[in-house]
Amino acid sequence: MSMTSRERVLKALHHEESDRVPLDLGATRNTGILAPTYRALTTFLGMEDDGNEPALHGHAKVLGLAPPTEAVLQRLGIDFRGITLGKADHSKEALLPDGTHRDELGVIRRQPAGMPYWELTASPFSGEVTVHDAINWDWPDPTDPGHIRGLREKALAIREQTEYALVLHLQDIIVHPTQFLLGFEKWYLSFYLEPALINTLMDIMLELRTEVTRRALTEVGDLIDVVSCSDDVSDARGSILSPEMYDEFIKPRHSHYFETIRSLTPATILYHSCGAVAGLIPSFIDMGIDFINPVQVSAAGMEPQRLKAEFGDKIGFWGGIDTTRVLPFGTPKTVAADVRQRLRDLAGGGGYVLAAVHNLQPDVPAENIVAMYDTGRTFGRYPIV
Amino acid sequence: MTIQAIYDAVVARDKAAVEANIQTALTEGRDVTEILNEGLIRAMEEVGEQFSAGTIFVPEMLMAALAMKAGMKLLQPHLASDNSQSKGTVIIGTVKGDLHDIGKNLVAMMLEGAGFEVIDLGVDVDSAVFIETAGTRQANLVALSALLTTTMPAMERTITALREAGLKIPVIIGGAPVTEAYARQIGADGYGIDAPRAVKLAKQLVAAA
Repeated sequence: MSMTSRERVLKALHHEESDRVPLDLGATRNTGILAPTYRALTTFLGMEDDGNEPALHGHAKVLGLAPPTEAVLQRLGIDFRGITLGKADHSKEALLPDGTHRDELGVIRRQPAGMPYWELTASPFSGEVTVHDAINWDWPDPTDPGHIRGLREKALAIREQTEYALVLHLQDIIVHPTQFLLGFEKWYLSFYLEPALINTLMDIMLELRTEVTRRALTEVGDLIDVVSCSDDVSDARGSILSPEMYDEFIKPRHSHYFETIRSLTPATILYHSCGAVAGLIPSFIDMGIDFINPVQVSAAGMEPQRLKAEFGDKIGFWGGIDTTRVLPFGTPKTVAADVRQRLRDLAGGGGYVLAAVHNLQPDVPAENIVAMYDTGRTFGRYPIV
Repeated sequence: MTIQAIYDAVVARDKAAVEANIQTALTEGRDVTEILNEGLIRAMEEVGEQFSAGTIFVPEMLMAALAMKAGMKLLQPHLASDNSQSKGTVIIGTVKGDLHDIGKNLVAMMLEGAGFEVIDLGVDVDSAVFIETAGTRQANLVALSALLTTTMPAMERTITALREAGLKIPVIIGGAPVTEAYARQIGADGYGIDAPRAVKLAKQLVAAA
């Protein structure tokens, strides 16, 4: 049975077995590859470095991602192609004269020497800020035409000229932006010390993100197979907030956001939250999330076999190949063994897309990346053995 | 009794009640060391237990630490100026190339809550700065933090540099990708899976030194 990538993906998304498990690299901002890792990969594969370093913005920029070329995606057997929002025509985002980066919200990051990514150094609301200040802040314009310019053409090109599944990756929602706006410590304390401020900031972010999302899905909601977004609600130990706080501050807003998405597209909803999310999966299912990424198998309570048994009929898994030990410190052989185990854990009955737990960092050797995808293509064939 | 009320107020994250009860205890002429050890430090141990057990979360632990700090501030003028109440001096920082600080800050706060003097070197800290500070401040322990697999090697480099500089003080490490096995591999004296357990480890290592 030979299938196109898209047919294969659609089966997996609908919890059915196809010819093999679909593979992702770079379709979302959470399943990508960093620029130095990518250069090492192309060298290892004997592919010309095509100098493919487009002007990135937003998350792709601060995460230091490199969009893989078509040749690399084909060599690895990647079944998805991704599109994302464009840069706003009028945005605060800029590289500043002192070498720091300011994002669309005014958050400042710098690139530590020798590191590929940009890290938070200054939050605009870290000092004394009133609710009034927050409301009157110079927020980005969600109706900026730059976000969606050319989006439909890109989507149509992939849909009409290729046989790959199409993913639209959106921005983060309310958690990450408010953490960066306030600074992490103030964010954590705000739920007790300044609930009106955190509520206001989260409401503003929700309104902004919902509007951008509404406009993007109006353009391409009928063309995409997957809509992807992220907002970390857990760390390696568990939920970052108590269940009561999650239910009060996060869940109603996430619910609203996912309802908006569902009203505008039949695409599969893929939601990314790092960390130990096992306890929150019932909430994710409630909110209509179809697939979760990254299945951080090194985190507490994230044993893939147990997750599949407990939730596999209600939610799909996207990721699962460990980036804290296996990919950076393993060998092609141990990577292959891990991938095979993950396939046995998660691929039965469909509902699984194979990808790394995190964007591939420069400490992941190219041969391990190739081993991961080669094993996925070979041993991801159904029936899994 | 007042000391129990101080303890209860810290655990309840009630800063105003901590302050009020400490004022009362001081007015009553209670022993300052007893207020510190039995009121504040023991309460932070309980807070740490609750965090490790997953019954409270980072916001609650931070609020308790703020309540504890407010209490400390009131006790400070009454504590002996020779620092004899200190359980030891800890140098803490996030290693070179890594700018993440929330985990490191939580550990620093909990160490203070346990009665240590904490010198926080911040983030992106060069091994030379750890060495210099550990020497000049006669530290009893060095605590290194890293959030990324790509910055974990800087922990190993820092430990090697400390040893090459002839500093034999214990070193503990922590951060999301860190494991017990990695700690052993790079010659650290231990690893804390979370802030409260890092504090327990710090107490053991400093007591044993």
